[in-house]
Amino acid sequence: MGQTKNILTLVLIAFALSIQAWLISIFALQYLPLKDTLSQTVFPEWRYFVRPERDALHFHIFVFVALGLTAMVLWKMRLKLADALLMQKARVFLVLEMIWTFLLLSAAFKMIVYAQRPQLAARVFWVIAAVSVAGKIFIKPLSVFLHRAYQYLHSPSSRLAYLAEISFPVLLVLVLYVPDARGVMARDFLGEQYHHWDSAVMAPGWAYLSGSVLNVDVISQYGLGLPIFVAQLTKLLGGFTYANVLRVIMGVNIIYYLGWYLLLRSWLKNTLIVIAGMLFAVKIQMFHSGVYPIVFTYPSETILRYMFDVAVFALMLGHLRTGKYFYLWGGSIICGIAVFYMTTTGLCLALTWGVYLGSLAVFPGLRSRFLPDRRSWLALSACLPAVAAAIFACLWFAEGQHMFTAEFWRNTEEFNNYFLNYFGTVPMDQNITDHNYLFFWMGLWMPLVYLGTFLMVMSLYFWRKLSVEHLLAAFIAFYGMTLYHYFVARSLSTGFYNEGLPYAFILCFWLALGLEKAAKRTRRNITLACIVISAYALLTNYNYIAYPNIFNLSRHPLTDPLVLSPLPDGRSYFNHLYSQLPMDSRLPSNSLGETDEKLRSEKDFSSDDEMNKYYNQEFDFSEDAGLIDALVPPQGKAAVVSSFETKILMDAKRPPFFYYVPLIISRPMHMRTMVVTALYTQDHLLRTIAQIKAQAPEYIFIERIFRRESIDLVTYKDGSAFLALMHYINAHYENFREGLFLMALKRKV
Amino acid sequence: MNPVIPFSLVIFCVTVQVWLVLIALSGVIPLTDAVSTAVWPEWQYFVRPERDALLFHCFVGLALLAQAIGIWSMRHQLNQASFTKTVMPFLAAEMVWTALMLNAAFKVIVYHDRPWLAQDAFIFLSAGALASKVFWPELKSWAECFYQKITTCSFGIKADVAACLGLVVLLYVPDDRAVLARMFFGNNFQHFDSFTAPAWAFTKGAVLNVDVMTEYGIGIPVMMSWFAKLTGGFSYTHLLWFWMGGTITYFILCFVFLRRWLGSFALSLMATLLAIKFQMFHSGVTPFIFTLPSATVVRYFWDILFFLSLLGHLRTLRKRYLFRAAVCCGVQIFFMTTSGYCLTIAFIAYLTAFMVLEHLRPLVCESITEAVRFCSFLFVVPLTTLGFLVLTQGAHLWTGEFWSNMQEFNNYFLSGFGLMPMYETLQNHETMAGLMGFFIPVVYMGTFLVTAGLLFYRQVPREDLMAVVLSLYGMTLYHYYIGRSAPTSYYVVCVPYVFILFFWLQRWLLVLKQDRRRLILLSLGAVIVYALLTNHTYLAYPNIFNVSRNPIVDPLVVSPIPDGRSYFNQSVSKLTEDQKLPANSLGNKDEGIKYEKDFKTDARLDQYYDQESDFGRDAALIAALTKPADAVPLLSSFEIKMLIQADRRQFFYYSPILLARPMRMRTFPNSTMYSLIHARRTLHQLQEAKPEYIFMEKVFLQAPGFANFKDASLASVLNYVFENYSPDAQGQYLIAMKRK
Repeated sequence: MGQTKNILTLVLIAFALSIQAWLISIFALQYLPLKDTLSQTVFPEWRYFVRPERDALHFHIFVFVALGLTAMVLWKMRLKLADALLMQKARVFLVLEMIWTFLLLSAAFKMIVYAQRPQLAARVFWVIAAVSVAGKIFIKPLSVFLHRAYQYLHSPSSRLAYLAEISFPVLLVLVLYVPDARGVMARDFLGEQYHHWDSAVMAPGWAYLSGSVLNVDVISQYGLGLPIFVAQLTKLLGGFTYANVLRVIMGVNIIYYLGWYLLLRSWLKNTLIVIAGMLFAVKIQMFHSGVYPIVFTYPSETILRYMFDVAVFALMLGHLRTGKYFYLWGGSIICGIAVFYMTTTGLCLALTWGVYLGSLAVFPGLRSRFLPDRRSWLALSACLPAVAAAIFACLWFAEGQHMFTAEFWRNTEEFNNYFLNYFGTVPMDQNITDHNYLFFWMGLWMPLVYLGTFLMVMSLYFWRKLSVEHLLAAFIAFYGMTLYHYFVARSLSTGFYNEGLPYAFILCFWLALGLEKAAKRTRRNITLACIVISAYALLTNYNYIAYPNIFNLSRHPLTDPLVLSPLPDGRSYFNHLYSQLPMDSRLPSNSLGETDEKLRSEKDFSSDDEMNKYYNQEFDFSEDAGLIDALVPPQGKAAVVSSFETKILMDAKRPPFFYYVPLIISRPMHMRTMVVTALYTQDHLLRTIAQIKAQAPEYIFIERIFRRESIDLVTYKDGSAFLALMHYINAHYENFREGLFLMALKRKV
Repeated sequence: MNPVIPFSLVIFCVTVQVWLVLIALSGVIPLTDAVSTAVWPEWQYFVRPERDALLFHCFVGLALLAQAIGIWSMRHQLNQASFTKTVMPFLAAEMVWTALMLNAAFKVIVYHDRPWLAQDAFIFLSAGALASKVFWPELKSWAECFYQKITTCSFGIKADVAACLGLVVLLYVPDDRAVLARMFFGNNFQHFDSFTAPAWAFTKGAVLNVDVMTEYGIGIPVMMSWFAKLTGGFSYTHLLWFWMGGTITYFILCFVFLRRWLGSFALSLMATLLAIKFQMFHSGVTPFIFTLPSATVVRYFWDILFFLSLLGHLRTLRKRYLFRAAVCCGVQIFFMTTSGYCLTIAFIAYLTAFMVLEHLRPLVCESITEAVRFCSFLFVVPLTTLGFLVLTQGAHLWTGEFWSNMQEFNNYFLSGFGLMPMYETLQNHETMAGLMGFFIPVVYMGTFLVTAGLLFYRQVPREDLMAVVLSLYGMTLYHYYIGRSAPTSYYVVCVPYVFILFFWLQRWLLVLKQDRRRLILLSLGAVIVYALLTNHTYLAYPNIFNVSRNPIVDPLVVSPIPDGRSYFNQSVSKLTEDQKLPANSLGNKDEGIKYEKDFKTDARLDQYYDQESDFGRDAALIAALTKPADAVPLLSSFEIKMLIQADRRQFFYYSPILLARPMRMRTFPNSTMYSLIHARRTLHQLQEAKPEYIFMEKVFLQAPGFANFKDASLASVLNYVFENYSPDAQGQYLIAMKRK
């Protein structure tokens, strides 16, 4: 058996080396052009069939190198098989060779999958190849070093955990922090035209700061508290701007992850496991393919949605450990704030908290521990009113008297009702019909983990196999299930990762529990392996590679093709929503009377600075803001029917007029096309027109391209609501004055 | 193990089953769509009624409730250690039902455009799961009885014969006419004719690769011709029997080989079934493998006989087995050149192993003379090939023209014609299919190296040399996929891979205890049978077990092509009116394009096929204007079918010369003349031979002056025809052009 093991070791070494040789030959030979002898003789209609390749040659190289190396190794070592020391060294060599082979295969895989931009993977490939060659040449000193490192890592005096404890939080901050917030917003301007930003945060945030009441004067689709919270925080950074809002979100993001790190560290008491868990959590939540190119493109997909959960779970842990009432009330109040902040996720958190409170009352073991007397029952029963009181207080702060009006509650429910009536829903089998089978199974697997964890932990606690503080896992799992509703309703590709953090933390818990009884050495080996795997998965993820933090490989991560990914169909990300519009949808000229639509792509910018400069220029609506400023009184609301309405209003320092703001799905201002409104239903249109009728603003500001003469030309099948609105406006308003992109229409007498 | 865990799992399985049934039932209740009427048209796509959230709540609620009730009601029993042993069999059963129901549900979604079969299966499984709970005590005792019987009975010769008969019944297709009809309408015999054409030419006295080319080697068409003679005449039906019979025979021989090599009846049968599943029912050969004869096992038919011979030699060291093995190599080279080379390399490796390995050499030779004699069996290979070539090619064998023609298609292939890079499936995000393409050679190479190493150090018995040779052969055969890496085409040459997998399985099972081994074998067997029976290509396979009485046209089992179109006439169903001519060869507009849905039964399809594939009038025209020994130049779809009916040989070297399409189409067919060389050669043939008549489709009369005639090689041939020939007599679709 021992000899068999040794033979296997030698064979695997030869095999690993042959794979390396094969890979290097593939990517070295690609620099030699292939002879194409057939293209001249094969007819054009058959040319697509001519595809010269070297696959067979590479296969032969692989086979012959493997055979040759194996034969050589087996022959040379035939008398040394019994040499235990030599075989041990061979095993160390084998481990290293398998690591190099794995890394080379990964780099090769990335070069193939990202064939449109293989440069980064190619560079990494050659670096690994060079290092692997060096590793073979200097195998002796390397083995000695690795042996010593291994010994150190497992020695009782090792300070690894301590060093990790200090350095990881710093590292986490540096990984997540983006220095060039303005650049990121510039990219979002060019890529998405702030579509997700304006509806989620900017429009309601600006409306709030300029004196509007949310869900009375102006809609807030994502809950009341979120835009208010963000808007207030931007004041600390110098004012409400797009870049400052990003800084706030980023800051919250960093604090949130640090919060969970500290919570998990306190709970699981194992720094290394928590580090592995956090790396995994960051990777799945922030860098999955559904948040291309950067998670901040979609503020509603960041942790901003549910940021209060870390505090609630910290309080829950505190209560589980100490039983103090303070934790119960604190958790209840924060749940109330969370409901105000964002209704859906707040309700998830409140429901979880309610289940926790209920468990204390229902389970005999918990009851006897936490509710031993009447006083404790009173304290418990005060929790629900605390939630309600917190909600009430927040609503009063934000809405004042309006919170008692039916109109407010109807408006608050409006988008929830649409969602409940299937507006925006995507069925869970969509991933199957799109042939994304792995996504589908992952989408099913996560709730199974949640449910399984909840049931298992509760059962194990019921049988006294688990300590009380580990009940936290059950409630994190329950919370994960409630959050998962978002994906259940809107099952887009990797959307399960948006709310996937409870999943990562649950895995962390099971890992810690599983390794509790393991030998110390085994525990450390497995934990270190988990950290390495998580770090590797994060560092080689393409969304992370493009993430513009201080570690980015490029100095211009927002425009450099080395790190940027185009869309799956190969198109540029910039202006991707409009770059494929058919030409017959174009009007003769744009709002400026020009034909150039200035649809730039990344390759038009040689640096991030150049892109920022362009952004500053294109996102400056001061001339149109001046027009509004001149015509609308200082406290007056400005009725703007235009792309980038929110920015224009911010520049003009006027609150929005329309309830449904932003009214238009923004598109580049230089385009020669009409627009699509965000008036999804006929009710929205009727309401908007009723608003104009009732409040009769003296001026309405529209994009110059929307003038009557252009509207009359258009049979615009994608803009029924827009055309209907413009017909109404044109019937009741007439041209008055022009700005740069905008035109002021004055009400007809 | 804590009893809570298996008990919780049981409850969980039951919850999943109930939930799946709820989902199925909810599908019957229509969804109310309150928003669509209010939403603007440009946002309608955003409205997608679903019940996912409700069903999710049901699932969670059911699971929690069931767990709570279950744990509470069984709380006393859960404290007993023996409870685990009691509940485990029930858990196993519930997991099986759950897995089956999940799989059926998955299929309902994946095949959403034709979910009926999966739905029926789901209903059946739901009923089965319910019955299993109700009648659990009876089911348990029956299962125990069955397990006892199956694990204690010995499988002798009767079982082997039964297995072989079972394979025949599994693969035999009773309604060959319907199958041919499907090939005719779905593929226009395009792939089938690449073998039929040279076989017919040989039958009519042509010399292959001198008079008429053969892409796939000389032996296959020759043997097709001989087979057709034996079975009563050259016809498509008899040729289909050749392929089908060859396939069935091959898999029976696989079973026999594995039975002898691995020794275990169960392993041999499972391996054969898995090989059938992989090789015959992968997505690359839908809907029916015999539509693509080059993808069948007949391609490398002689290898199984070769391995049987090698096994005989390995065990007995008798030289006659070596001779047989060498003959097999020789025949295989003649049969299909590339596969023959692969087999010969394996043979060389086998001989080399005996020479190189110190402990094996004395078994076969003790002196240099004996060693030379041992190695001289290698010469039997080329001698065998030569023998067959002399028999079929005669004096032409010694001509440069023959050898240059033999190399022609190999040269095209080696220059990149028809190749596809291995990494393309990865780039197209078919990651699993792509990675499998890299995994198989890793298994081969790993097996080769490990086993060779162990053999070198005498750690394993001599018989393991078979695994070494199999893996080497597998690697050489794998060039088929390396060159043309279409998704799943590695399964065409996967038989050695399956043998290797079961070799390792046998090794692993040997280290396990007897009862565990049997359980694993039983489970694996069940999984393999399940994988085969639920494969959609197998479900459409028209054997006697097919769930439909009309498997060729019944939408219950028939699959459309990936873009949703019908398989019938797929090559022409996307053409638009602006791409068509004013009239077809019959002078009218009706193209007679039919799809599966136009036929209620296979019998109706057969009738239509008989009608559409009967070119009697055109065959009579050809027969009337030519002599029996003449080679007839025919520019038409279904050239071979017509010539068979007319009992005349092909004229053109590159036959079939056109890519067949339905005869009544108002389009010109394209030619198979890929290159300038082909076109020149064809023209040269016409110029040299100056045949009195050239027969062509009447639709070509519309070609002169047609601006969008894209086929340059066909255009040059037609120009020659119109310059030197004029219309004479007419048939149904054909016109005879007489030399001016």
